[in-house]
Amino acid sequence: MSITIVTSDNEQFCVEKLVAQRIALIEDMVENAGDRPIPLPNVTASVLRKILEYCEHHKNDPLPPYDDGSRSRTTHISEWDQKFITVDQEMLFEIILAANYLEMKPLLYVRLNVPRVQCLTACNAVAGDIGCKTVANMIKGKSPEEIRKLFNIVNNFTPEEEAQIRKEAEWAEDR
Amino acid sequence: MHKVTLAPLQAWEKLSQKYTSLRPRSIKNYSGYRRVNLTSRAIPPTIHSLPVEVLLLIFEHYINKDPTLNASLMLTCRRWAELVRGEPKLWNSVRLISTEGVIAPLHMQNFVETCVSRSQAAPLDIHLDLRGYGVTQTSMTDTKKKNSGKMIKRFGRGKSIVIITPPTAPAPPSPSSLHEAIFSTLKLTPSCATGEDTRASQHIRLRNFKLVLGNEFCGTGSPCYQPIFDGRETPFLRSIELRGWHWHTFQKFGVAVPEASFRHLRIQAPPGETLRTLKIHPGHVNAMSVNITGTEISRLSIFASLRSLVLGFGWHPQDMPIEPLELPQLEHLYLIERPALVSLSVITAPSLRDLCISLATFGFEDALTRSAAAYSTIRRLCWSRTGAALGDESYDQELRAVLPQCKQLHQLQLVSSVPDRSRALAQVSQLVKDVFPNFEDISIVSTIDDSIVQSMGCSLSEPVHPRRTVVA
Repeated sequence: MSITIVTSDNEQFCVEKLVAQRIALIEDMVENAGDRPIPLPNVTASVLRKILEYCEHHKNDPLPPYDDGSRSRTTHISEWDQKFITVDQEMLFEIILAANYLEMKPLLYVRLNVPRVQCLTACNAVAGDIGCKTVANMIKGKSPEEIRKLFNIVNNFTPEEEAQIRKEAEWAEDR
Repeated sequence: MHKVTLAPLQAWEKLSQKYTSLRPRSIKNYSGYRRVNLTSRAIPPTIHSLPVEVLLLIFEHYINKDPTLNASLMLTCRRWAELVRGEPKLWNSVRLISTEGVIAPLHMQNFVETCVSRSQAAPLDIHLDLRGYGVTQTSMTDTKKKNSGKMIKRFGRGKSIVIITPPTAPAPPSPSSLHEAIFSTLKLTPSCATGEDTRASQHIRLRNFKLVLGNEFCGTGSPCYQPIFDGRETPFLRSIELRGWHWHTFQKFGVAVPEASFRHLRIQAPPGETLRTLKIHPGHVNAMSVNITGTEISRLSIFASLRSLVLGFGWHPQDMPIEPLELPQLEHLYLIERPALVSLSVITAPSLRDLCISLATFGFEDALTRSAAAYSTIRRLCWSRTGAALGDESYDQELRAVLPQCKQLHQLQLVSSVPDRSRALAQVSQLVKDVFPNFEDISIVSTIDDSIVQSMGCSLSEPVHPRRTVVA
């Protein structure tokens, strides 16, 4: 069985239901939509194509355990995922935003029978884990200057503010 | 008498039809608006486009429980600085690990204070590996003086503490040592707080405590942690792990745990060091596991509700007086080496189900015979003989001594490093079938199965055991 998804730029995707149901938002909408196409007004075709590629690859994966925040986070990314996420910065952020909008992570939590109320906060907050890990890895080992340059961030501190933060974090100077 | 009218129902139906006809149009309009909005987006997304919650998730991945990394985030831009400062989850892991970068002692307390205050109400994970810090007494005393007025009274939310002190210290220990300075900040225990208000620590929510002690702690440290062990200030404590290079410290502890409701206690010290007394009195009914490895305990008393017991290297009950252990609820017993095995003869455990024995030397017939009663209730037996070949005469003799006692045996797991396992299995199978004609559940593995040890409520992290490889 397949369902039709319409992107913001009016492209239609015919997707196997098993694949589409990796996306929590779509899983919720399928029940109400019946045979009608499901609109995704916040996702463009190019981004949805990537998202579906990910879902297709991981459609048979076992679901990860519920993360209550107690486990140590890891920035490890599997080989396929690494290749998948090797995109330009613009597409990377598009994927993260789309994953956040599509509630992709919560899908996994809900299926683990974690009470809906318990996971709502996480559901709404969490974006694609790989995307976030990738950005975290990009920051790793970089100085504030380098981070600014990497993401085109303007240094909007006044000299006093910067001095204040340096003083606050003087323990970091020893490292 | 009221006259029945359909007017309200008809009105409701009209309204319902009207809104039903409106609904698709409004959704269509909304979607159209969003579509126009998105497709007309001129600026490609950047890191500034990410919502706060996503950005914080990235930061969490980045710092990976090392709050010292927060500094570079805070120095990037004003928005990031505000986010990092205000997010407790980025500060609730106080990690001072010498191998991952050393914070100068002068700044250490400042760092701990920052973490404790910015983590707000989040449960704290504290990991202090102080082996790499060459702390001079003077610098710490100065720091302590400087910060003595800033006692933080929020340590009622500690989740776990790991403390590792230097194995050897050139200078003799001092009461104003590094530990004291940090713990007075953390408000850990009354004795650490040295004269400050100690009431805040009465509601400590500590769940796990691990302490690895070195020289520096000798002489002065023991009273410091006593309130943790006695359970008065740690009602939620479930696990204690103690290791020490200098076991005298523990002698001074006395390691008495009168009312603690912990689930796991693990004590480890090098062979040769003697812990004179270990008393664990009846406590909470859920207290389940004691793991004693690397110590020579001359006197042991354990609470009756214990369900899991691991006795390891250095356990020498035959050389020293030992009280008979009556453990009516003990279900899992893991014994390492011959002396531990001998203790079987003094343990009365009518509920014993799982017995795991790990031996490296031969000649246990006497011990095994004396312990025969211990086997009668066993359902699962794991038998490990390092260096022994299945099918060896002595090995067979031992098994022949044990197996007939195991009237309720359901599973037998034999551990051996013998290369030709298929031949060995055939031999052992024959041996087992001599005793139990219908018994079939035998496996030979290369090492003790982790799952067995875990099912006993214990863990064997040292040495690391490879994965189970079932040959047959």
